[in-house]
Amino acid sequence: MSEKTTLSPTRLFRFGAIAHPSYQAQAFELMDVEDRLNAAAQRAAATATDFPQSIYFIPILVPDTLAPGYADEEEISYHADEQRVFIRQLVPAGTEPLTVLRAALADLGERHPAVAPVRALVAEVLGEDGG
Amino acid sequence: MVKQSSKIKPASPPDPGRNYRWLWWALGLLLVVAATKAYLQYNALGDAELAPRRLAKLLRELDELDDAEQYVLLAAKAGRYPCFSCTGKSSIFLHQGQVWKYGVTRKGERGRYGNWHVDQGLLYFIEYTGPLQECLRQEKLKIYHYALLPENLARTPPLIRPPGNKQDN
Repeated sequence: MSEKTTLSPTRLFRFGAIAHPSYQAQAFELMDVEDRLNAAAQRAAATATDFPQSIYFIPILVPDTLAPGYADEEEISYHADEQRVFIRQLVPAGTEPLTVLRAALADLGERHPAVAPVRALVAEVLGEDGG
Repeated sequence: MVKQSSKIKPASPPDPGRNYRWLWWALGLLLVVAATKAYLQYNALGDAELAPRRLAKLLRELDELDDAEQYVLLAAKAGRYPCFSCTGKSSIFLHQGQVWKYGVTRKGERGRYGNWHVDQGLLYFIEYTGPLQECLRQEKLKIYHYALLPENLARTPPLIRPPGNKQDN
């Protein structure tokens, strides 16, 4: 990789997706959410040293029949040394990926105080329920 | 007598390592046995069989052959991305959703890329799951047919293969 891509100026939130083609549109919608969260993070100067430095969210969007094959790819973790939040989760059919994100941040926030501000920022930008 | 005595060689000085030579042989034998034990064992009937670790590895690898994944990496957002199939330039502008690379993995997205593709602004889409041979076939078909995709034909000149594919396989 000789050249970096030129994407949004702040990439505190880094969204990806492991997706089946039938979930392609849903995966691309998440990119807009990522932009909104990064813009809010920049406004809130959330890049202070005590705020996590990167928040990965990689929903696994696959039909139920393929889901078992991805179960061992799930991970919800906070790496204190790198100040990195990492959420890779299967999204059950009929569930919004952002619901999964909120639940994972709530879970991590309880175990790691450093993640609590991320949860608060996501709630502020996206609301507690809707996207 | 004098001649005979002249043939007798003078006693050579004692070799200090000679007494320990058997020890080296024993150690070597032990290492051979240990190395053998790492990949096979003998059951109660005295028959040789694969060691559990080797057997587990075999089964895992057989599973992987039946359980591979053909994927595509798409541009998550419009922007410049590295290009390995462009002539004379190292990057290319892609619109959101355009193909960057086709590939096959037996290790899933995580085993193949970790976070790398997310950092690069790429999305991982599963296009086919099944036996490795079929995944490789699907990948090859897609790499070759990429040249005919409308998103590629719109370029001057069109690319021979996706920007992220260095080769035809």
